[in-house]
Amino acid sequence: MESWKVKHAELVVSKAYRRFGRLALSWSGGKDSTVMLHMVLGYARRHGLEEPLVIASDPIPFPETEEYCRSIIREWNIKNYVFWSRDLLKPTHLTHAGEPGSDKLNCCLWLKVKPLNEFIAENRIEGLFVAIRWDEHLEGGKEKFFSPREQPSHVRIHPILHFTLTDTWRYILENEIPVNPLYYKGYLSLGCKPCTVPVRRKGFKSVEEILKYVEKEAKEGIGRSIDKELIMERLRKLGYF
Amino acid sequence: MKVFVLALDGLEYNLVAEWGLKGLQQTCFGKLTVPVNEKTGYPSSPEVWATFLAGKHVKAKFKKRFLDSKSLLIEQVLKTLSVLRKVVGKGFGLGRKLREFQRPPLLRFPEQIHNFLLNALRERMTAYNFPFINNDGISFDIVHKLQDGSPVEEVVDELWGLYGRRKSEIWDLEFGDDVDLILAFMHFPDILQHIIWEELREVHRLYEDLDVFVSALGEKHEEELFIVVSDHGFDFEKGVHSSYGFYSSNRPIKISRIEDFCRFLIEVVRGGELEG
Repeated sequence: MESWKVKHAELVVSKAYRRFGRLALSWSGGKDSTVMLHMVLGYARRHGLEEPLVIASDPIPFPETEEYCRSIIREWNIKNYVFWSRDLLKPTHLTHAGEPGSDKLNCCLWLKVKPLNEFIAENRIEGLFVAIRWDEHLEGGKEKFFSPREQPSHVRIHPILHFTLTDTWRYILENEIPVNPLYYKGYLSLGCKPCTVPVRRKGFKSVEEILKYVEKEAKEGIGRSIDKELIMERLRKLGYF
Repeated sequence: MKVFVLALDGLEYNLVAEWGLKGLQQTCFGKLTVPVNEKTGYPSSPEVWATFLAGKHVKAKFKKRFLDSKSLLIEQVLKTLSVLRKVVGKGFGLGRKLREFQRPPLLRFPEQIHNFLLNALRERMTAYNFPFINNDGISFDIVHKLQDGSPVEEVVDELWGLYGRRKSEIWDLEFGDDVDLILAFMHFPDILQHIIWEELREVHRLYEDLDVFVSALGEKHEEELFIVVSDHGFDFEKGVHSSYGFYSSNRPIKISRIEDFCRFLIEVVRGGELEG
């Protein structure tokens, strides 16, 4: 992994701590948000700063995700946390959402967007750490490391916006971070239970195997059918050699 | 005002515009007029960067060693030596010496031309791998491995590795108290796109990656004037340099010719304020 990427993520975290008072962190129990949690907690503890309020798990979590989050909270000694399904959702959210996953847009609106916005407003959160990456969103290029939002007014902080999928898995491997067991069951992108499906039926045996799998996907087809004599000839014509 | 200049080689304006690469585009971006080499008919990087540093069109010839232009001849000699080594048992080190000759020389700034930017701001600037100041030739060494028989995939991988190291080293550059101008150069995307240009998906991956890096570097240097400048573009129809450069900035500036940077940078660094 290129060394500048982790340094830059830490720079974004340090700027967030300089700019905002009350910080929260959205941690779904997936790979990206766990990497972000690891970084932010590490930074806060190294510098003696208050840890952000961690919003754990999903509105409709897999049992594995819920248990994974609890085990990380214990192992990493996280004191300042809430669980999304237990502490953010109210009966009215569930009523309006209807059958989970049946109308995805409506479901996300009532179980994710509204409860989170209410939580941010009620807790006067100024900055919220969110683990999105440019390479996973078609419109990702439009996002910034710091993205101001209205209603409620706060700033989304994206420390790993510049990470690729393989960067995330390399970081996990290099830092020996325990991962959600659902990854070993073949899931590569985690979310609420009704809308999440595995991509590999036989699953994965280890993080190393997952990393190899995503690296192969990323590199497919590089350098095939390139005529090297032509390359050198063209370079010479341009005055290179 | 402090200024960070990321100097790129061969960034194509049209791709940055068409692909909507917001990081590279920054607040403002545009095409640059750059000198076209009289001999080849395309912009030549040494000539363009010399013009950038001198603040006027540098037409001086950049001398190369005699054998540099005889690469194919050397290849034949090397093959013969290889056969000789197998027959006689040793090659007397001639192959290694010839390879040294074959390496592209690090060109010197023409002595008869005044390196205006360097001389004006020498005490207040730092340069990373910048042409005519402290540029190394590692990327050329890697491409030369194609002639040694290395597979294209291997060379491409090695160039990606170098590109990753360059990015990390450029990200690490800090101004400190005495430095007001940082010039950081990397031989990308040009050296890679000369190899992968027919595989547009790969070119897209490279430009997207560069866009991400520039976005991050711009975030790091948001308090300073952050400029991206490229010496020429790339014609993906023909596989040659296109005849215009590129610039972008995190603050509104208007520059149309590569030679205008010299005076502009000196004024901004000395004046302390950005006057546009």
